[in-house]
Amino acid sequence: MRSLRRLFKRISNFATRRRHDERLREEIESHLAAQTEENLRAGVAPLEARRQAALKFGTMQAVREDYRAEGGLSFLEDLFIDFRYAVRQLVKKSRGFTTVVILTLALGIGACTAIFSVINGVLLRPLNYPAPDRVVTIKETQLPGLPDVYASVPNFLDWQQQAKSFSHIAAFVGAPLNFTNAGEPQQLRAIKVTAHFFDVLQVQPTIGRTFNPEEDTPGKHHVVLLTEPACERLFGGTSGILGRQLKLNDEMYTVVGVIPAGFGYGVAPNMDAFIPMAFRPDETTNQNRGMHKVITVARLRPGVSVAEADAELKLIAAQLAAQYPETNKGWSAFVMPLLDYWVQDVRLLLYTLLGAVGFVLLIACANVANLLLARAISRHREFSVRAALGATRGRLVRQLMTETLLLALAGGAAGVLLAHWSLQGLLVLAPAVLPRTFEIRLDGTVLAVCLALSVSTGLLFGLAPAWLASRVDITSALKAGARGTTENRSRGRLRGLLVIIQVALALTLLAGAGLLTRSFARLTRVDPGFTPGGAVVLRFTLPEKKYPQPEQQVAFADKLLERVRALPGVERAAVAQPFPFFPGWTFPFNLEGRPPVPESELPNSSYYAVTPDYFPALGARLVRGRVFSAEDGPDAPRVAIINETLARRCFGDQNPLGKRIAINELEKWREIVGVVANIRAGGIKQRGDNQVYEPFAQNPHRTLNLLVRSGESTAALVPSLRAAVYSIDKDQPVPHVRTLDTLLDDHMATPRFAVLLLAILSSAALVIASVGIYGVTAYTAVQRTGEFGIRMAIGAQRRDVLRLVLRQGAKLVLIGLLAGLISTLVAGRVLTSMLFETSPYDPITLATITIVLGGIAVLACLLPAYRAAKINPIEALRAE
Amino acid sequence: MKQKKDVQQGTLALMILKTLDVMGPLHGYGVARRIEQISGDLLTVNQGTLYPVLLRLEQEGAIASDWGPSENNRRARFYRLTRAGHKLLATEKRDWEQTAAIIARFFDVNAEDLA
Repeated sequence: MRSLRRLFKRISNFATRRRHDERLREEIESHLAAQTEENLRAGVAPLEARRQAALKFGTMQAVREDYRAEGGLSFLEDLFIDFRYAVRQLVKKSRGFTTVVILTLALGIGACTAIFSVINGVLLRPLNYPAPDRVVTIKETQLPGLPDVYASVPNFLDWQQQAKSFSHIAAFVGAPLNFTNAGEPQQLRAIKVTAHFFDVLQVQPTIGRTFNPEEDTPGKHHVVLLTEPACERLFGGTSGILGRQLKLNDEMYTVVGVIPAGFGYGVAPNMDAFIPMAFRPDETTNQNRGMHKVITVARLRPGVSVAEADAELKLIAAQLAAQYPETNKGWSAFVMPLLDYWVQDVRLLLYTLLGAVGFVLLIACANVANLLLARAISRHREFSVRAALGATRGRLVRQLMTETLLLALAGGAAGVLLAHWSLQGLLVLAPAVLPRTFEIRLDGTVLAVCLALSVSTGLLFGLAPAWLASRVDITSALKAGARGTTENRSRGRLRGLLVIIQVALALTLLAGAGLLTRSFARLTRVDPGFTPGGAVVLRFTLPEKKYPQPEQQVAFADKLLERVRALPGVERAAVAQPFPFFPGWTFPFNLEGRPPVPESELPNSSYYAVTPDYFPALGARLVRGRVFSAEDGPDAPRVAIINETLARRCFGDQNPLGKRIAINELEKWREIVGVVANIRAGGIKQRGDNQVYEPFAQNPHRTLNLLVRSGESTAALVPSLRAAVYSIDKDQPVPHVRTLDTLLDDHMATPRFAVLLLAILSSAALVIASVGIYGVTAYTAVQRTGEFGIRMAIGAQRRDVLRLVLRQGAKLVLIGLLAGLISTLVAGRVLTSMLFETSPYDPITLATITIVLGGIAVLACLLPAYRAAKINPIEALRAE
Repeated sequence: MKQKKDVQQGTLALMILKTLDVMGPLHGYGVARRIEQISGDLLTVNQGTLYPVLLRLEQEGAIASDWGPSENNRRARFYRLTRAGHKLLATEKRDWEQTAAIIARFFDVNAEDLA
């Protein structure tokens, strides 16, 4: 109680700046007067009386300090004084130093903040569903190492029935809907969902309801949910939307509810509509177990961990594999948190970038520490005087730390500004590479991390210089007088260590950038197997209701090609499904005359149905045999074309022409009539996949990719290509139009992003580190001016001095390079999966980078060495 | 020669309180003189150390102070005990007596008594 009252009093004194100094002065005065009078009365001489009174009173200064400490909050008062002193020191006395330090720190902290805000938005921010960490996805996988795939319908239904780990499991599949209203037909982005989809994600409709389980059956499924943005776009709002009849894919659907905007991230973002899945009976038979076509989401039952759910699913998958070996042998399943699954491809990239900016920050901090050290030494006399006046070492350190923290905070503030700007640049590049870019912003978390980063940088890199600088030996320092203090050994060692660290970190960063650049260069030189320039692809899907028969699909394609070829400027036109760089199909295939094996042990191949002009239009190379022709119609003998990889794998040196192959429909044999060069259809990095082509006429599809090669500008052609589609079916929307160039370019976006950022960061690192090495060498050389003067006076040549300085710097650089090589070999492993046909230990890259960095570093030492060698010994000694 | 005793802060505070209790309102010099007299010069206090303690007691609310004229008509700051100060003195006194009694008993005990 009492101490509380005392504390309040002290705080209020501090806050109101109330000082008791005056009162104490007056009290002391009256005290001494009284005592002096007393002494006088005892017969002491006046001067002596006063002296004795003062003696009896004790040390005035000590009393005054105790009194002041009691009256206010001395810690805060000191801090305030330190702060004021620091600001004066930084702003008035050494503006150049302050600017350099703040800029250096801003660069490091700003880069870290920018990358962290990306990580925070993309990787760390939870998905916007209730209890988002309980939402998982289940994928099927065939042996570890192979990419995971969607679930097959019967497998999904078995999981739903058997698994106990989940409160609900739901499946969905993309189902673009052709919406026919007045005006141009539109395609709605939509998915088909099973009954409990909205229970898994726990979303509430803004109006109406979600689907009933009964509506998830064929015949009762003509209900649709629209999203708010879709309502806004299509009908200008949600009023009167419930119960409205919409013509979708030529069937009538009733609107039963509206889903809020922003729903579906991580699952199916930016949707317009949802309709019930309503599996047809023929989709759920055991023959479909090998058809992996639905995406699953599930919500874990309370108390069940991801690992437990994963174990249960693996068990069920194993049972299914035993039960249905024909289709399920070798297949397993795994459970993964939805967010993890969504961002897994960029996680490594982002953490690599974070590591890189961390390196830049460390290099920047090493420079700052060096600057602080040099400055502290030039203020040596100031500290000596303060120590002589009674400042303790702790007090000196505290004052220096106040300055350093002030610098770090200012650097952090400038860094936030820098992060803000660089994020805007980053966000221009990012959408092609990163998911969830809309979540990236400088928010409270990011700012808190930035603040923590600034403070810890200040502490980490200010403490050692402050500690070393505060070690003053008063007598020798003051005695040394005007003479510059000679280099202290532990300071020299710290400075050398900082140079080594800088060189090592810079080398690691540069090597990483070098490896990625080399890998990117290889990537751009890859022959995709087709000519990307001057071609465009239009992609659309015919509604099932309207075009159920293969003949109708073929007729549509034929009519379309006929009209497109008649357009001026069109050189070649073809239709294909699937199409390179879009999701493809992989089927098991069989060769005639091979010993029979179960279906699950057959080799797989990607599969394409193409019209005759496909290969010329794409610019693909025919290796042997022929391409398809108009004669390969629906009733003609079945034929196929294979790629070089399949030919080499399955036929070796034999001629595959005339041999027979069956794919997907294993009872239908097709004669191989041609071999084409490999096309990197699954992505520019993917090679070595088998590819089988069939005539579109013999195996048509409702999804059409119209490929058009033109001599003129392809973009100008697009409106007339669309018109050609509408002229056949005025209700048929054409949602996707891409040039082959941009399709290919999308695959370059991620590596380009990584290379660009790492190149920028490593250049920054190189510059900062070179400046650091130069600074340290120059500083040390200046410190040794007197020594050089003496050396030259007693006969040393200029080149001896040159060699002396250079050797000192070069030694540090060499150690740094060595350490950097080691850390590069360790860090290189991280890069492995980001490198394309490039070893993380690529000797040429590493050697080049080491030589370049070493050269620049030695150059940075050479300049001060040269200057040191030019000194005039007489002047140098006089300056001493 | 025997060293004169140093005074601990807490003890000094108690002495100040008791002095003010006995003498009524008193200025700093008066308190110092009084402590000196009572302790019979057995105890030296650097008189200055009194003032931070006075300030502390005042901030704790045990004493209050005001300017007033001293005996020889000089301006001096007079300290007086507040009601809280009286209470504080009573408890501190009791605590002190208890401690003293315990310590005294320890010194009275002979080795035989413990057997």
